[in-house]
Amino acid sequence: MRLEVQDLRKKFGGFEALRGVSFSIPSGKTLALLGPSGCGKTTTLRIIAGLLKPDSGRILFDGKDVTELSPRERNVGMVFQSPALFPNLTVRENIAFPLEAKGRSREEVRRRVEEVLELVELAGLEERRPHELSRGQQQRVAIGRAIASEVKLLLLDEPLTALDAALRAEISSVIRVVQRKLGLTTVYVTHDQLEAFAMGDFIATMFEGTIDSYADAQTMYAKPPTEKTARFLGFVNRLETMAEHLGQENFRLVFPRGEFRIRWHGPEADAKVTVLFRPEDASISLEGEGLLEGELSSSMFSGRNVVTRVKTSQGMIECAGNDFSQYRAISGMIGRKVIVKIDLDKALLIRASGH
Amino acid sequence: MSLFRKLLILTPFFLFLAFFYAIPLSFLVGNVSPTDFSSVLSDEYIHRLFYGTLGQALLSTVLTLLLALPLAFFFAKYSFKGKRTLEYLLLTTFFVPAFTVAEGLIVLLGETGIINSLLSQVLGTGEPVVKILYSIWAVVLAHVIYYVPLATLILEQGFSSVEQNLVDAARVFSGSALRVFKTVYLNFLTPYAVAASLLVFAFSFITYSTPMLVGGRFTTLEVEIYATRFRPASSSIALLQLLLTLSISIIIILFREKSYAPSSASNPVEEPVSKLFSSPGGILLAAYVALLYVFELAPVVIPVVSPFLDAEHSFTGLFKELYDFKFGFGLGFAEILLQSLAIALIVSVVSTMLSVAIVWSSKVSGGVVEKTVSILMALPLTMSRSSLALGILLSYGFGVTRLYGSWILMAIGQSAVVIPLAARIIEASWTRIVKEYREAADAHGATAFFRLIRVEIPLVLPAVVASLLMAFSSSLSDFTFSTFFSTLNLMTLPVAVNLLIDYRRLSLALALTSLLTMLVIIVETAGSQFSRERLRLI
Amino acid sequence: MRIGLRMMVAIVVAASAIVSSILYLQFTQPRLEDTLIIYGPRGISSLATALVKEFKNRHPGVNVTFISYGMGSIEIANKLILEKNSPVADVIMGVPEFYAKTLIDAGVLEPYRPQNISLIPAEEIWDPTGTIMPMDKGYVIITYNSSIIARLGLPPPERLEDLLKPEYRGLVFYQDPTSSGTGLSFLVWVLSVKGVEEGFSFLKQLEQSVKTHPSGWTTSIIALKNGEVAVGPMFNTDVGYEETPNLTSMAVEGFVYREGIALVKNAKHPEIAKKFIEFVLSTEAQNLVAPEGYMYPVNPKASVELFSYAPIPLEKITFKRELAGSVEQWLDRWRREVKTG
Repeated sequence: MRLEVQDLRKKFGGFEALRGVSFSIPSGKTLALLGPSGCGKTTTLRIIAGLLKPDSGRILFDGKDVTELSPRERNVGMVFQSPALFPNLTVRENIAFPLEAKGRSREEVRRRVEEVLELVELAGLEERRPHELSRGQQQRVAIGRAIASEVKLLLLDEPLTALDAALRAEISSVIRVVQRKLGLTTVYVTHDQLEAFAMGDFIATMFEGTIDSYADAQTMYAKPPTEKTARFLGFVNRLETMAEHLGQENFRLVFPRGEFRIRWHGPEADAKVTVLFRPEDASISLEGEGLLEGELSSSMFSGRNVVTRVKTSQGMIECAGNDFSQYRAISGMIGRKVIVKIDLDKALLIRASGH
Repeated sequence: MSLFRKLLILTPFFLFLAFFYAIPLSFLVGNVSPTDFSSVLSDEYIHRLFYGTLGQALLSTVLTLLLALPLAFFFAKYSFKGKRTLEYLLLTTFFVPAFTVAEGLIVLLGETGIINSLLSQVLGTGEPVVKILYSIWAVVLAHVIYYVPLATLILEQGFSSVEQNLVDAARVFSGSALRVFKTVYLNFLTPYAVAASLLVFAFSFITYSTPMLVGGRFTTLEVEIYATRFRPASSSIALLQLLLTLSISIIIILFREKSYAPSSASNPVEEPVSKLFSSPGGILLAAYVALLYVFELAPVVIPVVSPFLDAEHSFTGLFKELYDFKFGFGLGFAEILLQSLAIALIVSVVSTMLSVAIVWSSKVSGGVVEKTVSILMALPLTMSRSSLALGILLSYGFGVTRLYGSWILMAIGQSAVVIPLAARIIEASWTRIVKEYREAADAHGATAFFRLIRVEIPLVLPAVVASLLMAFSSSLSDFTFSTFFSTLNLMTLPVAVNLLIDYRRLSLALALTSLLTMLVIIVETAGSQFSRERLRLI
Repeated sequence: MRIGLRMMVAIVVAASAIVSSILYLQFTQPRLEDTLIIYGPRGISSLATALVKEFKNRHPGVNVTFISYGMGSIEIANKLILEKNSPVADVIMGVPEFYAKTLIDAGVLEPYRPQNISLIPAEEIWDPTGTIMPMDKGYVIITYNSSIIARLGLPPPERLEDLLKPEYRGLVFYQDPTSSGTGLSFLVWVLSVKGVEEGFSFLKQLEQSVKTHPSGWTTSIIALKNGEVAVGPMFNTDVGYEETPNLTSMAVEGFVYREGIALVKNAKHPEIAKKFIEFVLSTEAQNLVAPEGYMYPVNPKASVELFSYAPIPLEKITFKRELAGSVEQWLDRWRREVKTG
């Protein structure tokens, strides 16, 4: 089922929560709606579900305007952050809930519940109550309940946020299995990039009530369309410089200590550019080649890699590397002059005055 | 949702207001002529009654608060095994019928009562020494006994809300205990103390059975309305009392809205009770607590156990006599018991059902409507019952229907005062139904009705059961409406007790009271297993 | 949408409990359809019941009910007034002489002169308007517990004035007039003799001697029996009562309490009502007065053998007609100035 969201606006009192949200998802695909807390993504989700009415804008399911319909009439399934399983009902009854609410026959309900239990791998636990289940099992029931009544749209509101790392992997795989088997169009709301990239075919970033960027997952990862989104997605380092046009799509970027040749789909002339790149693409050394130099300001071991920050003439540059043997040595070098090497092949170039 | 639909949803609430309050009170007001009212207002006798009522209410409030403070401190500060039970025990004086405590006082303080007998033996005099029974002091004493538990609980919350780090900081910086008390405790305690005072004052102001039983010549406005209920002047007095008590209710509600915020601050760390005995102050406190418990519980325990300890009659003999006693015209104990139970059953079921409907309708409406309903429902809690009873007498007894002599009048009155309480209990539980359950239900296709039956009601069911039981015991203990509406053919247990006291059959009265009290304690204890909200009167 | 079995059972149980409660309670109410309804104070319940029974024997197929709601004579009269616009009762019995004017002025009674009035001597007919017919009468006298009085070496009290004497301090009682007909008769007695103002100051003074104000006859007997009190007004027929064998009286002066029976205006069953009133004045009915109560019949042919032991007061004080219409005010005044003053 194709989902279309058109120009949603919503105010709570004086606060504008949504300021014109629009996007669409092709049938059977997953959109990850990614953004920081308070950006309006949960509000958007609840409007799609029908739990909230927008001030203006439309929701279309397969081209049909459902904005005025109640949640019941929209036939969606929703998984919440906390499982919100009904504590007075057993697992079976929880899963059966949407079916019974919609008046299905006893026989149909029984059959369908069996199917769902299989799908989420909870067979054998039907008679338990939510408080007797582990967190992971509870979330499985929630997923089962969401899909029980053959919904066309699955909505997930940060379903993995409250889980630990091991459970996350488990539950996200359950979600993917369910999606693939049922071919459900899905909207997945999260503030965690890793989740977004893991679960989404398409990613939309959202800040302060509007959609900032929309792209398929690969594009979004490699080449985020806007600076804001790029920074959110980890392109935290920012340099400004001149891009000298060398002909066709070749440019030369000039830096205090070196230059870098790059291919860029840019203008046919020299241009002032902003260069955004990830910490993973920058490293420090005591001597040798490098685009910048500066004073080592801090270093931190973050488990996965060593993150160092260097104070340069162009501002603070963050470098991330996983050469742990260097770490000890580096820690002693705080305050000393170091050279920053940057691989700009994966960098984003944005013309200084806008895109 | 259209306006019409919104109003339709609120039907249970409107029905409740109209039937139980608007109609009776409008009949009451309509029965007052301006000349009657102004002559009542300028009547010196009424002034005397007013000042008397006011005076004993103020006295009761001050004494209650003073006595409750150290006890509340004790409960807030120290932890020990069985603390819950101890607190619950204290509460018994609050929820047993008022006349139980009154009778306990009669046995303790009567001229030939326990204390006087003891004292005259010790002092060798023939005359009774303590003569406070049948006076304003007996009334104040009784109030203190009823309300110390309530005040203690409220103040305890106040003490617990004091943030421990503030106390520590104050100790470090200013030293003396008095200073600490002033700067830290007083600030936190004040709203709770005011809340407790307002409640105790309000309840003492509308006191009814207590002055009737132990007031002697001292009487209050509330009782006067009953005494003159078949005469036209009573409507004016009732209107006056209604206005006075409504003002008190409004003050309480305003206070609750403005300054009383149940805090979510961390509880101070409780100390083990053994520490209590390590200082002289602590030992003093422990002694105080013990004495206070004796003071509180004696008037409850005495009526309950005295039939079993009666020197003159065997206890089976007593109950047989009770069974055979001729209460009214052809009315025996069995009939009275059955009538009381039947009315209590009807009142509890009808009240609970209506309360659920009202809470549901206000929750569905949400927002301003929910707030308004909550406020309006709080008004009757401390409103004059005599005035309402008179209104019911005029409207349903002799007015739009001719039901005087019928049990229905008692049921109406009792339900009118029970429903706001029941709604409170249920509402507190309903609020705790996390929004997400409702959203989960809605998102997955539930209609409002389906959600109500499958999710909301099962989740509030414990609270519903608790309020059912509370309503049942409330009806059994009701004194006001029973005395207003009882006749030779229609009598409830409390009225029977009153009759027995009147007939000087104190031992029979105690036997009946003992039965009734035990029944109430059992029902209330069962009820409290389902919900702790019974006492959220604020 | 399924309702679970447990819920079903709970609903059925609750519903049947409610229904049976309602049925039970309704069953205990007096039934009022197709019935001749007679209002009266609880004090004459036994007499009224006996009269009703006898009347039903004579008129088979007629349903008659006496209702007092446990009320006193003033209260039941007030109830009649309250129901003026659509009266429930057909007949009212036990109307005290001193409350007659209030009822007549309220316009709730229909004058009816039964034929049997010819059986009643003229001096017994106390309502000049001919609306209320006399029914029975009693004598309220100053009684005392002879053994206590003798033990204390006191002279027996004879008149109202004697009650003020210091030697009777703490021994005196009289019933609360707001709840007791006897008490109210006593109050009316005092006011009839002394006038209103002097009467009330008398009562205020008397409070110093009064030990207690029992709520009614039963509680008076109890107080006398316990020895709590020894001197006070009772009906002359209470003298020598088995529970209080030492109760006696000098019967020097006493108050004649007279009560009547009347037809209610716009009664639903006026014809049978009139028959009932006829019946009450008949000798057969009047013969039931003495056995069933503490009052005397007004029909001279009726037997008063039973009361031969009871002393009739030498001086008989009757209600002063000028005082009519103020009973409510007196009760209020008594409550304020005497009881709680």
